[in-house]
Amino acid sequence: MAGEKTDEKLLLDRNQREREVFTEIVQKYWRRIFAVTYRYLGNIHDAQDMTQEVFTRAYGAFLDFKNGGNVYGWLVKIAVNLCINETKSMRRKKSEPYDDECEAQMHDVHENREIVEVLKGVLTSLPESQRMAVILSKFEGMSYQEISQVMGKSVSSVESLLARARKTIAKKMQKYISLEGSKKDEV
Amino acid sequence: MKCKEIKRKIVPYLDGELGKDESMRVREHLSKCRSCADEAENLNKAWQLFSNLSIPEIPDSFGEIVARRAVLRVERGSELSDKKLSYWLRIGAVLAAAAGIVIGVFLGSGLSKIFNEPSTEGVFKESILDGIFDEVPQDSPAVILVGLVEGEE
Repeated sequence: MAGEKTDEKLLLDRNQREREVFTEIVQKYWRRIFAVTYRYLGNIHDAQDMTQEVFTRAYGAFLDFKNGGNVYGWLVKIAVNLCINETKSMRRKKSEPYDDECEAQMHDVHENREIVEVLKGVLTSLPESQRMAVILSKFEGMSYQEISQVMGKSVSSVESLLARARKTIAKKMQKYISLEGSKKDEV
Repeated sequence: MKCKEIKRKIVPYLDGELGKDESMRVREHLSKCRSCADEAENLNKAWQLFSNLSIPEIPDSFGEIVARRAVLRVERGSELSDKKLSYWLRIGAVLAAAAGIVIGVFLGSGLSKIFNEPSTEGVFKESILDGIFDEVPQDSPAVILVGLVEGEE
């Protein structure tokens, strides 16, 4: 975004203007954190609650965050830990509703709703660590090294998580892969 | 490389995670082996299908709400823990003061008995000391000390 401050510049004022700087950090990253939590949890309200929780934890530790650190990496690490470890307890809590204006509107621009639903089902059916590794790799474009840092696993573990996940995905999506293939053949 | 080995390398190969040499070896194998090439194609196509997954549109105001709530929750949380701490400190101070008063009253009444009732002093002394030294040798330091004290009186 044009004119957007770098994290380093933002963090310089952190001690004097803690709230304002934090608000700017939230504005900069909430969409990406929401995307990770939404893909992981599979529904909007849980993802909104989780995004809130991520930033609440982040604000609680904001002054301890080291200058020069990777802010997005830090936030996504909080999100990953919360998603993997606290999914069950989050579901037990009653969620606090957001303003009506904040009610998300699903916008499936894709014609094939069925594929979208199946894909969501396949993703949420993956074991927790595999699911998160897929999200970070496919949607966040992270390398194995970056995923290993965020998830606190070795690079070879990440490689094996992704290999297993992708084989499961390919197996479950076989029908649609063939359909895509036949569509192309028809063209 | 054998098929078994290649199949383990297909995913990192597709993700661009292999080194130059290893990547070239996998590519060469895929160009010759139909079975491995099919597997690689399936894995790749399934992965590409995920591009259909969109993220719901959320209004910008959500970000503002998240920031405001985070600040409120953290600040209210620390305020609450400060309140809890000062509450327990106050309780502790009240308890300490009460304990001080009780001990003071107890000691005060005990001391006043000792100092204000001379008629019982001798009885007290006797009752305490009677028989204590009966079985102790008369030249022991304790007996000599008691003798000196009594002699002074």
